[in-house]
Amino acid sequence: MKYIFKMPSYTYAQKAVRLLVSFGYKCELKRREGDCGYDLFTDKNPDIPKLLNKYNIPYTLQEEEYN
Amino acid sequence: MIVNFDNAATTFPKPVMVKKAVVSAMEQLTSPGRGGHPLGMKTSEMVYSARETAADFFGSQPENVVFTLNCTHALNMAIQGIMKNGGHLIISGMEHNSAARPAAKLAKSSKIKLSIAEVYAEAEKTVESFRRLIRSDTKAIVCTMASNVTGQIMPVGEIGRLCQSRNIAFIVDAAQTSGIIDVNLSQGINIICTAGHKSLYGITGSGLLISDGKFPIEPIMQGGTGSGSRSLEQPTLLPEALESGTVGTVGIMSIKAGIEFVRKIGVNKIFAHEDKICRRFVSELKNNPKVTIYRSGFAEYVPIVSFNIEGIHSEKAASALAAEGFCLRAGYHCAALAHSSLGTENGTVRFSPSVFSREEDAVRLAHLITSVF
Repeated sequence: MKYIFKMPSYTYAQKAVRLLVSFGYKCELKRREGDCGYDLFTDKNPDIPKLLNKYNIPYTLQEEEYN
Repeated sequence: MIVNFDNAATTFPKPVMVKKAVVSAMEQLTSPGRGGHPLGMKTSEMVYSARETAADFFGSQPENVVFTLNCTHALNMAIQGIMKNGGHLIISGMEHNSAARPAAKLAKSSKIKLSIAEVYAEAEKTVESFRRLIRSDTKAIVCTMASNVTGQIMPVGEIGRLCQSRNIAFIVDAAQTSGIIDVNLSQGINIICTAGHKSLYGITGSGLLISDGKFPIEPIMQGGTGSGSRSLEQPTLLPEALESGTVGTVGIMSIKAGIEFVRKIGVNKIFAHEDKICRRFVSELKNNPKVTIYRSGFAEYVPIVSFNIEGIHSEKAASALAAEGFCLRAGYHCAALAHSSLGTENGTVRFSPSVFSREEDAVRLAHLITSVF
């Protein structure tokens, strides 16, 4: 299982990437399918949404199988 | 040889690192936040990196950095966006038309009430002038950080504290100060509006609106933002809420390089260099009885000197100097209110150096003024 963070804009997506990388988390930013926007793919680690919340980075979280 | 002393309008020449950034952007970048392909993703990352640079320089967060066409665009967005639902607005009597005209238009259409605060050489009197005008429905104060006509520095810190104590949005026009003196949201400013092409050494067609996010700015324009495209509603989050349409990638990269250039030299060092040139210019002209210089011993100035020559219209004087290779701006400098305050009905001639200006050229110009007029 992975987390998919649906980001409201590229700006917040990139802010999240910079933040997660600085804390040593692996993440991948991809263009969203079906709607304009960007999704952030990470391991399913509950600390990650907590960190994004702490830095007031908005997102919509999905848990999905991701290969 | 052409010597540019009209840097308050647009700095010229530009630093080599800005020129390189512009060429590189044209060769490598496209539209940010629009696609998932390598060109689009690289452009998006570079534009975000420019937001980080600007945010760090002005004490903000990257998402609160909005790229605009120029300072006028930023001021229009801030003033119209904050005052959208009416209220009372105060502007200073030294405002550029970029702030004064949108304010006047809103007031003329009865959408807002507008007051103009008189500006004095003494900072305390200017702050008091703003304080007296504040009402229970005052929503925002707009103040230039330094007059584009005389260069007089306004008491922004004190006005900021006044605004904070009354929960009034404080919008600052930093077109003549960014890159010259410290400009930071920590000075009690809620929204900084500035140009990229002046003392940040970027190209024309580039500007910035920097917010602390406290006062929501209603967009004056709607359109494509590269996000949530299936909705007909404009996004509410900054910066996309205020960045409809493809932003000026090349100009944005020029601002990034320009800020890095300013930081490399240091704001204090730049100010010291330009201020020295202005002081020398003033000193060369001060004993000329035909020359009036619009500076007061009670005020502080950014490196701008406005002057007039007795019996000569400012445009005629600038034209004569241009014939000798000196580029100076004459007339009203798009600041009707400031000239009313100064009583300069024929405008002024404005001398404004940049980091590339030379003291010997200022002396040569002063000698020319003395010999020609």
